[in-house]
Amino acid sequence: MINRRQLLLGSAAGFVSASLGSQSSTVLASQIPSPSSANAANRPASANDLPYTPVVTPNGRTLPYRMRDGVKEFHLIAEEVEHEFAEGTRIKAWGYNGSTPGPTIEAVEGDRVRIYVTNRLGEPTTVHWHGLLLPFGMDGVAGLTQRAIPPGESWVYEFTLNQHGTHMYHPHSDEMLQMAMGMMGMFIIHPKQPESGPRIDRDFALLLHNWAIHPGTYRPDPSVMTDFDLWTINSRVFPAIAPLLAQTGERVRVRIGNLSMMNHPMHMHGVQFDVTGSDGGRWPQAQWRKEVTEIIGVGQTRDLEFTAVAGDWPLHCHMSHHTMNAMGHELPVTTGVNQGDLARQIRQMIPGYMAMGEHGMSEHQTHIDAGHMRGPENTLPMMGGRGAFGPMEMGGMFTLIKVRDQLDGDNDPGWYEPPRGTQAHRVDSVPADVPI
Amino acid sequence: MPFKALALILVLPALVACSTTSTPSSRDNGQAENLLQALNQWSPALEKHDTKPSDDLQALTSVRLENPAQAQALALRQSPAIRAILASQGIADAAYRQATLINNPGFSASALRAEDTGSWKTEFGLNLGILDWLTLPMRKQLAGAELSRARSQALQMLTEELGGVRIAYFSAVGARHLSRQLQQTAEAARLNAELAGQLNQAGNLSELERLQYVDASARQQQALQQALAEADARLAELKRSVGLGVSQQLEIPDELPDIVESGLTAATLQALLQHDEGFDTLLNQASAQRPDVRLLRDSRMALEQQLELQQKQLGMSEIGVGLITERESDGSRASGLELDLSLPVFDQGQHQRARSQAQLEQLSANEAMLQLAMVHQLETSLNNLLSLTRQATQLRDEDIPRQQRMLELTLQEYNFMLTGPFELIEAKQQELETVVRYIGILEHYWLEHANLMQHTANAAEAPVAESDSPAQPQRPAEPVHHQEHHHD
Repeated sequence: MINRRQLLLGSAAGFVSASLGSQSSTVLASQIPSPSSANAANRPASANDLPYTPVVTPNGRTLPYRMRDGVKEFHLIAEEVEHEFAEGTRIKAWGYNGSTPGPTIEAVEGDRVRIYVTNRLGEPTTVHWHGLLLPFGMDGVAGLTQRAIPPGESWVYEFTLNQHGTHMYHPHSDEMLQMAMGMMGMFIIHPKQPESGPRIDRDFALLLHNWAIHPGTYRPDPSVMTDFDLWTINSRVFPAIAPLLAQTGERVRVRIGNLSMMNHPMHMHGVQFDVTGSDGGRWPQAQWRKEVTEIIGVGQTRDLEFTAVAGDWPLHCHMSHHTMNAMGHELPVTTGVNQGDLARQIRQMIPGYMAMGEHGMSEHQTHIDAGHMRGPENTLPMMGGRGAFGPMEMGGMFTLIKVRDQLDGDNDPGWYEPPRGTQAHRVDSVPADVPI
Repeated sequence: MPFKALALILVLPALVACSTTSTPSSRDNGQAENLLQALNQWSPALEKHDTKPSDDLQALTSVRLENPAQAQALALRQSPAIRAILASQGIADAAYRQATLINNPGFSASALRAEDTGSWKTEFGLNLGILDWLTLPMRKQLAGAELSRARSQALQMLTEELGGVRIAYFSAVGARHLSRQLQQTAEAARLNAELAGQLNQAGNLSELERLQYVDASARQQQALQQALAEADARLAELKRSVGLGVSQQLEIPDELPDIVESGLTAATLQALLQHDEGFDTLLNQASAQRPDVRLLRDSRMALEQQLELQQKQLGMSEIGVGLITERESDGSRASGLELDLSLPVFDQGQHQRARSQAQLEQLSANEAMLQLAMVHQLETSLNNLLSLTRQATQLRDEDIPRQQRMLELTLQEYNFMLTGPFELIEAKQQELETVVRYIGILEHYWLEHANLMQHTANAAEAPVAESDSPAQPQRPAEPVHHQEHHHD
């Protein structure tokens, strides 16, 4: 069977209509990839021959193209997709080419691109090329720069890339709903001239988003403005977000775009990264600044570069609720409350009741992992993930940068083992003369 | 004595009596007839002055009633109100016998002494009311009709009393059922308040919020107290209606029976409401057996016979013949006959007949009115039962399971810290309140069912499956279970 990618790469004529005819309206997204598939399988086969380091989109892929008369031709299909945030939560989302986010478009400054857009949704759509400098009529704003693309039709955008940098694309037609449903993607433009400064060994593209998937439901609620349930990187939540792999000493760039409804202070452990660019391209080196946390504002992109240091280093939003999965936000505080016999009385009335939170919420993951507390259908527990040393009690916008001296290709290297004497450990007593 | 045996004592002799006791007119078969036969059976007992409640029942300290039929059986044996009704049959029976007697003949004697001779003149007379003889068969018929009317009246009172026992039974069980349910509702509110107290003490909940939960709990407690008091009052009413004393314990089921035990489905009720054959059967049954219909019919028959008697009397209120014998003072004797009659010159009885005639017309109109009312009563009762059946079915089969599912889902959300313990307990309260609504509907259903039985003269039939082992009275020697109240 010919898949879409093969079709795009292998056929020279009529591919729009052909691909239209071969796809159902709902496309099952690929299973949550392992780090190896996330980081390598989607890399172009000819990556080593490229004048730039292609981006890797963890849990996603790069959109293939075909050259025709010197124009790079892409095809985006707007459609409903079945999406899995992590094992246990699947939804009916909207996306492009079978996934949310849509595949990353990658090109080079100066390229002429022709992007076909087929609308398989039930309502009109457009694609806005967020931050790109292009002719007015190609900006993709429904009613303003064009008539919206009706369901079932294919339209084409064509323009020359006059810039480089980290960009995004998303609908500008019923934008609130369509973005809430997952329609978005990254658009990476590499500079035509080799970049000044350190060469990038590994380049990653991460797109931040928020979702209102109420417990027990299967479709995002677009009416929610602030109280979201899931905070995602490339539409996945921890622990289903593929880690970013690198080798010790490599120059790594993490491009982060934010199409959620809230700013995210993205914090990286283990290094001071340089903030080196945005949708304005790679900044002059004099403008770079060292940070450990960078706020990625709504609608903004930022490039974070660093030299990899061995370890399994978290990269996460520092708004702590954003590193949780679905949770109630109006719960009474039970910390410090020993329900004791009252819990037994409640259990008599409501079998299965368990008092929680007397000493904090940490016990929650223990209960969940033990499997004796069933949650709502299609709903992830608030926290999860286990490391080499126990529960990590995380979720949402949290992932790991796994750095090893030597990677085995794109295979997950497992958990990092701290060298002897470099790990925190228990002591029998604290010297009495240590001031407190 | 087991109550099953008691029931046999009540019913079997009644059936025997049916074949041995002549009744003034032929009657339809049916439960009302059984009651009438039961009345006939009780009459001899009354004549023997056996009107006091059974000693063994009086000695009981605790009685358990499993269904309304047992309550009615107990009332027949024990209720003073029912004994009073049964005693009225003795009065009616005596009146009937009195009315069938011939008036005693009159005897007169006189003695007159002549002043001049000093001798005595004596006179003896014997007279007998001819009219009394002539109208005896008619008067017997009239007395029989009166007796029948009195029995119908007693039957109606008895039916109403037994219907009242049924209603008192379901009211008491319903109130008990409700109060038990409200105990759970109040307990849920108490748990919420206690949890709020713990959270407040830990510094996690404001005093205002805590008081809101305490306030809600207090209101539930108040509702519970009201329900318990109501349950006590209704149990007392049931005890009164079955004739138990204050010191005697009465145990009843904790819960009302399900509506399926009535044997009436929504489809059956709907068909009846569409006036199918069943509706006509019910109506005919009601016409034939309802005591109030019978009472009117018997009253009319009695009046018709009274009218016939009045017509045959030809306005003469008195006709008498006499035998007279005289002995004069000179010793001579004379004997002869005497005729004594009132001449219908002025009062020919025409107004009495007119009055009776008007009363007949009035009774006839009342009968028609009652027939019309029966149709409406039946329709209304069936309509109410259909509505209550649908509501109860929906609550039992849909609403309560839905609430239980909601509680289950809320617990799942609680497990994943998506909702809090207050919301979880409130979900349980919602379920409990739905059950409270169900109990309310269930009680209305059984009370309406009792009405239907009244309307169709089936008041003494057991609507619910009878227990194989009816009420087991407990002797003082046995342990006494005090289960009247559950305040804990």
